[in-house]
Amino acid sequence: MTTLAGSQAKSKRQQLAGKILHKIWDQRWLYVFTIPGIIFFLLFSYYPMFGIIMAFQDYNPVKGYSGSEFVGFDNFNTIFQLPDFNNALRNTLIISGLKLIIGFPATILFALFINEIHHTIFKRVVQTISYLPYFISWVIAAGLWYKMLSPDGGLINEMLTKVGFLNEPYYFMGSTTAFVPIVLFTELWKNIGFNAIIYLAALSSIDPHLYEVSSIDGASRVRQIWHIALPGIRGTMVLLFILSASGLMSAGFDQLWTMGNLQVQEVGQILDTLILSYLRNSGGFMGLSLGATMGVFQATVGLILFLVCNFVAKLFKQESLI
Amino acid sequence: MQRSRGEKWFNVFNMLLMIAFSFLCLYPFIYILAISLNDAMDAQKGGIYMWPRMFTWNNYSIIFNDQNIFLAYTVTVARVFVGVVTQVLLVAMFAYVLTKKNFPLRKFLNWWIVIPMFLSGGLIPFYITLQQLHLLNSFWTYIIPGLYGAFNIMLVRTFMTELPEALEESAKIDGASDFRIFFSIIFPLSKPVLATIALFVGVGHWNDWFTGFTFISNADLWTAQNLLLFLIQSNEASNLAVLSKMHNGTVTVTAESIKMAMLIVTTAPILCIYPFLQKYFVKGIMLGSLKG
Repeated sequence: MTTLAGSQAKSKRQQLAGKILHKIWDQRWLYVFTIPGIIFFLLFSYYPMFGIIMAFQDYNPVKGYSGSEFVGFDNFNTIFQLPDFNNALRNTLIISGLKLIIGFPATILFALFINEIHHTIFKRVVQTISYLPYFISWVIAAGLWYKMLSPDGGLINEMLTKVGFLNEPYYFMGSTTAFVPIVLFTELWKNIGFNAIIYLAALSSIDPHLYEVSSIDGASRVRQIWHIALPGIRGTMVLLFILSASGLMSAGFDQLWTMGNLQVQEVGQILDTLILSYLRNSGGFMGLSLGATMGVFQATVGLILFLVCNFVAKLFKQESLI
Repeated sequence: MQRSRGEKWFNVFNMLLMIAFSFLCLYPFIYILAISLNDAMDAQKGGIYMWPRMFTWNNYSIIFNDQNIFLAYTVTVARVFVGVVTQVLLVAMFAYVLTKKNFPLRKFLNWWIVIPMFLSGGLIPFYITLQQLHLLNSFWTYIIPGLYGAFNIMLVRTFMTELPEALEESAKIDGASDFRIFFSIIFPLSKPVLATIALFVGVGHWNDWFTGFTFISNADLWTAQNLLLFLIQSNEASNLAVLSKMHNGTVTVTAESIKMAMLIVTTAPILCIYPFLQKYFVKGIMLGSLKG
């Protein structure tokens, strides 16, 4: 009896195993299609995440993660005492904060102005031109503006000396006073047209009847903007503000690396560029661990910001970003 | 609709503002183009704003005849091509599986790609990873770490979910394998979204300077962006040293004029195609602004 029951159970198990195998075989292509992706994210996302343990080590490239000595939170204590790090942290917050404060309303204003153009072809041409700077790399953008602002025959200097505003060419890119305004200006120049797209989409979904009715009532364009357009895109505004606020720890790595230079490090060095220079010039092994620690600090604060902002977004509009 | 006088003024003001803005967007390119088409020595005197004064193709002919620069463009074009083809194919396959409700790993795969969008090890652990995988300093450094993009997977998945299921089911009844279904039905039907991500990825590859700058020290593998960054960031003297190494003898160009011509040559392809891509990009960000 027992043997019979045993063999029955066994054959049932075999059947089940056969079924599972059959199903796997049936879906074999689905496994084939995804296994490269699983390996990819394992190697290039999860393994580097594991690498943050080096922030708690005195990492030695020869010994690797397993052989390096653990030092607890020493690296964190060290970076907070580094003038370079504190400077970069301050600059990151200043630059990204200013970008948010200026860029956010400027983009909305730009979208409102575009939206007020009623000539279709003109509108399309303006929009197309306004996207152009978005599609080029920061290397190109930096090259263009370096030349425009160059003290050695750049257009701006030529103009300013011609009208007598300047007596001699001014080295804008090497000036600690001019650098941050230039960063803010070029950021707007490059991205405002493209960033306005979402607002324009929101504006175009406003019921046109509202405009018609209000203009019958004699409302001016400005009043229409204030009472119809702005309330109509409030949801989008809140969401985008929160989204950009959550990126406060990133001040624009590409831009600051391509436009920055030694003379303006004091105001232009941000966390991302500091980490890259630690990687490039670390020389000693110490630098790698410290750079990684800065990265962990930046990512952690960034994540907390994102979660807080997402929570706030939920409160505002029952709509979360994730 | 009746128009008051105030309204007319508003329209005129708005038009002028937009014309000024468009000019601001375009002008740096015009300025650089004019200088790049002007004789280098003459350009140093200044005064060129819209048109070249002493027209010449010299700066461009040097770029197209210089081996280093030519190599950089070849590498750039190759990485764009290989990068786009591989990513589009891999992303489409991955996204297709994510639409299969009866696939046991579906939930796991969703999380597997979402988590890295919020957590990252940072630059230095990533560098060490590439080092350990022997992926520094090779052409494949441009390709392999960029094979997948989580955001693109989600974009394609959203599109594929909306395809009619009936097509797939009838193929299944006819005994087609998932492989056949994917390649002969799903992939061709997803062309619009795949074109979108191909453009995202292509422009990304063309514009990327960071990979070459950070992970590749062999100058033979540099892209056009890397060469440009080098010219922009290094000082004039070393630029001239590079130049004179490139052209022993008659120097009718300056580092500056070469830089200007390279800026134009590197921008030109984007300039030519972006008006046609913009609608795809717009579609992309609209899709992306919806919940993932």
